[in-house]
Amino acid sequence: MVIVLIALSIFVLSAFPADSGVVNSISVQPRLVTNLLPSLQETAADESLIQDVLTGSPPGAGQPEQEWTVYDPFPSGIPLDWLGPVSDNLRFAIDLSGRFEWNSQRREWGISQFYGFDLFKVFSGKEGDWGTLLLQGFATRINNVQPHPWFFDGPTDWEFVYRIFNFNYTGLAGGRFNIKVGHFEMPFGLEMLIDTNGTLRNVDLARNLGIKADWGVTVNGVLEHVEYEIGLGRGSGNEWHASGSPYEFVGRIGTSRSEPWVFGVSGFYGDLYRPNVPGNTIHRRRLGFDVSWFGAPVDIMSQISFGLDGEDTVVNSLIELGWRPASETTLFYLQLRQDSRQFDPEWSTQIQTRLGFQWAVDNHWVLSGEWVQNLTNYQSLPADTTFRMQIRYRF
Amino acid sequence: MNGIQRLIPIVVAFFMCVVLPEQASAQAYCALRDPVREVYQLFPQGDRYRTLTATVGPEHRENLSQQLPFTIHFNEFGRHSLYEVFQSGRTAGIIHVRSERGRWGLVEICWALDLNMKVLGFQFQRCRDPQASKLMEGPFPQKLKGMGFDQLKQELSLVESGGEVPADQRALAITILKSGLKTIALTEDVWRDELSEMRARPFAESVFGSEVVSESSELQPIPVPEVGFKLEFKGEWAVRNKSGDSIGTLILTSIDLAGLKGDLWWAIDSERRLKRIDCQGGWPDERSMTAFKQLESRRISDFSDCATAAELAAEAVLEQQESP
Repeated sequence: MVIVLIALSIFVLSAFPADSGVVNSISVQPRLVTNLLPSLQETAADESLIQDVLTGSPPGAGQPEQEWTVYDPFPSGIPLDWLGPVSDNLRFAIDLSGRFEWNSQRREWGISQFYGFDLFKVFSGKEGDWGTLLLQGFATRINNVQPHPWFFDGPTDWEFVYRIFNFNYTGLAGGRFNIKVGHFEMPFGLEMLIDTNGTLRNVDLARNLGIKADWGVTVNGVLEHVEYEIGLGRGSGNEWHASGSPYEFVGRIGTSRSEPWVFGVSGFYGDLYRPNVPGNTIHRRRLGFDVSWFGAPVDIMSQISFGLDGEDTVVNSLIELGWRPASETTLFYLQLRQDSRQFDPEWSTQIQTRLGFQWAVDNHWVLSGEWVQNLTNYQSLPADTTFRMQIRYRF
Repeated sequence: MNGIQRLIPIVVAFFMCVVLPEQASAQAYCALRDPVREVYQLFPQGDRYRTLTATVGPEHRENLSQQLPFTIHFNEFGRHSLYEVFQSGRTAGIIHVRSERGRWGLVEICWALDLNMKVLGFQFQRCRDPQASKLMEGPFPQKLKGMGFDQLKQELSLVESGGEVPADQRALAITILKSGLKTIALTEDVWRDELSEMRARPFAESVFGSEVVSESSELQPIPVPEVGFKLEFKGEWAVRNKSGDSIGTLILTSIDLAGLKGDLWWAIDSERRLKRIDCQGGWPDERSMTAFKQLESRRISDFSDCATAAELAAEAVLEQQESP
């Protein structure tokens, strides 16, 4: 069904190409010039020079070109101008990807497929912007994927997944105090600094908190030295469930991400919906700190959080070393993760490394891979290995 | 599982076929962020801003390469945003963020410009060059303030020839200057209509007083006498006072003559007299200014009365204004 819809969309968009717009200018071609221009007719020496500068070969031509080439990082491959006023401040892309993973213990392949769209629109009036709509919806197919997010019925299933699906009202204070309503990403830790939606690379948000995005409301904004987002959510994640009265409070306050050093403090408190547990909720609390340094071609990002999973005390930490060549089309990263929990009275720890890359082949294709190695695992579980590869195409 | 195993070589082969030797990145839109912090740092009195997204296409590359004093390999096609910053409801200036490739990765530069495309300031939204802080603490950022396209071009020549900026900061300074030139040229070209709208109001207010409202009206293609040089009508605005009475008209034209190439603003009063003629960004020389300024307060209604190119242009403009 989804494939049919996508094919239909492509056909419709191909059948109605971009309009060149209304003609509102008139060109008057030269003809009667010479004897009617006494005041501007005589060409002085300096005028010839001006003409040369305006139309001649520019001095300095021949310098290396590629150094000055940077692509639009947010391409909207489908022509939108034919939509008329609707296309104002609109970006739209179809986003397709396939993910393949192999685990050394299971010795089987798991495959995930994502067929979705990404829409971004700024609503604006004559006196300024007043809102931003961001919709990302993905028909998601998993085949033999274990473990899988709890809202899938099994290791092989279809689900429509809302990644970010919200409206941010920005009309109150010009971006400094906004109100967001809809499906929002948890503002916690390093997740606020990087985009991990649909990427192999992630910063452990979903596993740590038990939820990555939720339906609800946040207040958010950017001040001169501080960025913040504080939200209240339903506590049920991808779908709205009220059974067991789930909820969560979550928020992060951090320094500006434009600086080389970025610091943040985050908090999370909630009861999260789970269909198969007594009372239909699990309890999570976290207090987190993150510190990042962005310098030269190297990034170092780190976070630590403490809290409770039900009655169990939990301590998580993550440090990532990232390296990008000057073109920044490729990212190599090495993560070290530690996750300790106290199963009364014993502590158990998982230590994991992740070595991965992301390669933006062009402004449509992204290829990425990741090697996940558990160095020690919980309660003597085997130290298994997982390889993942992902192909993503946006247009 | 046999099916999956058969699928993998096909997928790998497919990808080997589509690998392209180009550089880019395709990010999801959730990573899009407005330069909120930079807007209010560069315009401390600003209170709101408006996003103006436009599509940059191959035709803009052609125009850009005509203007820039260096060769480009411009592939930034796609949707780009310009931000109009307001202060108490009036345009205080514009912001445009450009990504340039530097020695230490991408440099994101947030440019603040006035409506005449002069630099009000710039800030790094992102820069990992270790020389960045030294360059910003020196006289370089202050020196760029007030510069337009031509001055930035001169400054670029100066820096490239080894002047003014310390050697270890020179590469970053050149990146900034080239970014500034591209920003001005691209903004003028891509957001031409939006800039005209922004410029119309202060021009109307300077001619007709501070309490006017200007409304743009779409120009229709109409026959125009052949004046013998390139003249293009680009916009027309009805000017009204607060009571809603019409008190004049603004017309924007582009003109291309020897020694004068640019946009001209024409203010016409309700009696169809030329009230003021201004060249966008300033007159290039005294001669051009005199040729047009001497027409102010005049009515030119007959083609045969015209003795100069300026008068021919004025006659065409007044005829355009009189047309229904």
